[in-house]
Amino acid sequence: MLSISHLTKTYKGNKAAVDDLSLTIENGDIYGFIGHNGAGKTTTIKCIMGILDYERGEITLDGHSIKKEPIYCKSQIAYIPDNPDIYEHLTGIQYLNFICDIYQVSKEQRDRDIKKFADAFEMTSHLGDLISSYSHGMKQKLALISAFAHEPKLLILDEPFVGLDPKASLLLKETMRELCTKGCSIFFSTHVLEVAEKLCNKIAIIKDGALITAGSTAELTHGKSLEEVFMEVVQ
Amino acid sequence: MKKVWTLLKTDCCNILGLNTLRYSKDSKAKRRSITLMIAYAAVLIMLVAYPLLLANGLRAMNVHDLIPEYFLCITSLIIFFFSFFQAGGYLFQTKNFDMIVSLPLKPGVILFSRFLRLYLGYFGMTVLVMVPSSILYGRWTAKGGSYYAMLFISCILIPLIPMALASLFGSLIHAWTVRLKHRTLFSTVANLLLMVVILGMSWGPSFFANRISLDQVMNFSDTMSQQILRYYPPAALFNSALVNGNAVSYLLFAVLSILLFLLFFAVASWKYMYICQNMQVHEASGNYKFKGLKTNSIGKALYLKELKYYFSCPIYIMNTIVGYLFIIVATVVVLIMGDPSRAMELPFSILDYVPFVMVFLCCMSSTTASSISLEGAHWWLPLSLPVSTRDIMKSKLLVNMTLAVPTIVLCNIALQIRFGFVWYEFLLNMIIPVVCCFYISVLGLVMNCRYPLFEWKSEVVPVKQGGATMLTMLIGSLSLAPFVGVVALCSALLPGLVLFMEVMMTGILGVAGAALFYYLSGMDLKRL
Repeated sequence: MLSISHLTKTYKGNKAAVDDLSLTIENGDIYGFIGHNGAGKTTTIKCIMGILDYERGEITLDGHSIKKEPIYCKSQIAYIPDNPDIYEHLTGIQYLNFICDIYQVSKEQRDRDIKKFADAFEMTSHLGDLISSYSHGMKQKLALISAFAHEPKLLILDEPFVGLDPKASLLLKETMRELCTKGCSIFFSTHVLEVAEKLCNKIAIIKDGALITAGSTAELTHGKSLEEVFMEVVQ
Repeated sequence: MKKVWTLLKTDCCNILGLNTLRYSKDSKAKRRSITLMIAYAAVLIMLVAYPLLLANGLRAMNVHDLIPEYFLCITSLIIFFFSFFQAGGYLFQTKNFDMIVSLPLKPGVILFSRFLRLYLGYFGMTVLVMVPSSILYGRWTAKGGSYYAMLFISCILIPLIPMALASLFGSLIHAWTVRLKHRTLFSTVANLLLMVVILGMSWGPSFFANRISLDQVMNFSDTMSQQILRYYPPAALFNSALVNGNAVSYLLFAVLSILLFLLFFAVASWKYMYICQNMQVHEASGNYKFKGLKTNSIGKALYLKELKYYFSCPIYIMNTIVGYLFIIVATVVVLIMGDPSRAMELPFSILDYVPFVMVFLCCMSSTTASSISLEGAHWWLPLSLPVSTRDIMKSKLLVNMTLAVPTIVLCNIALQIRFGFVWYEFLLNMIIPVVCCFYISVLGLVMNCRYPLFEWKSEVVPVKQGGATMLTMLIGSLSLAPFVGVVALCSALLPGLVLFMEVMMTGILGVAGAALFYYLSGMDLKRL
């Protein structure tokens, strides 16, 4: 599905934000990406999404390069940043319809899926209001609905649980599992190690831009908690 | 005062990208800052040069006693319009309201620091416009030391009246509309109405109704000065003080300036928290019932999104619709009063220059020059969506053309009905402004891609203070000047070639616009 090979991203001033990072995400994976603040998680995610350019390495989705075929790759991916700044001048439903237009989702599918996810996240009654009137959590829910509505092959989420209420958090975890059983892959960053441990079948730990360790959750933890493993490897 | 200074310093530290230049390790960002500074320096030179040329012109017409009031009126008018467009958005910006209000600061301190930031800019402009020409006038009329003392103190006072009046109008409109359900709509309409009233007053029927003679045209500055004096009485006090050395008039001018400023400050401080708090309150009915959704193509979806943004942002509308409003107001005036060149007994018809007047006014108003910067914190969305650069640029370009084309076409149809141009003149009157507008729109996008500004707290910053906006107006005017020059030269020397030259120059601009758009379409937006 997604292959990251020797990714290196250097910011101006020669600080390597991501240094020779390689990862492979297979179909059906829920891949957790953890690391301390400033470790390079968001930079890696932004490189995958084509938001940031990178100097070395290759990122491919089913063999298609994000650099050479950005529109094809983006059409297969849904991305939600850590702070979902979405168009505040639109109403919730206008935003969802806009995203569906961009991904060319059929009328039947958007009618069905938007209603399904909006009802599940208890957002339907708010969809007629301007996004500027939404709380952070409501914006997060709207961004999630927009991501689920176009049935992406790969879901990339940066800190998706921040700002969500417990019910929405639970629903997100269930939806993530459900999507993965259908063959979708999920790659997400988080600081909530308990969630990563329970939810992910694979985990990667990054420190100062370099990959410290990656693999299946079971192999990585070896009976220890993820928190203990994390503290050991980043020390 | 220390707190005001601290706020002001924090607010101003990145003016012209100074902080970027000092601390950024990004050489591209530094180069951008330096280019911007050079561009601003060019504008400053123009700000000094034009008044000097005008002052010399007035002296040649032997009406140099009008210089003080004439430049006072021009400076005040510019400051009034700039403040009017900026004041509401800047003084009451809500982006960091929660953070600022949580600090141990009185609302008056916050408001005063913001007012001071605007004031310093206008003070600088006043010095550049007023001082060189007034020094020339002082030398021509051998004025003494008291004249120069009054002149320099005046530079401190001059921005106060127009700023206070404009900010007062802006604040009152804000205070009135802030609790309304459709406050964006009401605020925009109220602002536009006020602007039309002011335009109507200054361009009003008296200009044509008086049937100005050729002699009066020769003394146009006098006529214009009298016209402005009627609407800006403080200029009379100022003139009396500087020309005749009347200390009482000067004192009255100073007292009036300070009183009006204090009045504005009292009203704005009184309503400051109310306006800011209510601007953060959004209507939310929470009663949406799910209905079937309409599908659109990618291009249409992006265009509709851009159009909705445009009409949701009063600052964006107010600052980019001026030129088109001028076109409409000028057309209505000409439709009612007839050909102004006849009334003024000019040896040529102003109607021959309709397309160029429209081109000049469109140049003032491109929405595209700030459209990329206005994405601000949302910029990640177009970058992460599966859309091409071409589609993004096309949607932004189309918004400007949506404003320009109907204005140009409808005004030309109205003029055609009234004046009955020859068919090819009618066509050219429409095609020339539309093509030039296309060129200016694309130029605006190019400039905004070169000088993007994504981190701002109020839309005023990218729309009004962005380098891209200024460069688009500057480069746009400079690149259109040869067009007008060649056509004017041809009409004087080779009238038979005018039509050919107009068609050729329009073609060149059209091709230049298309080439720029092609360049834009291939641009890698993540490198901005």
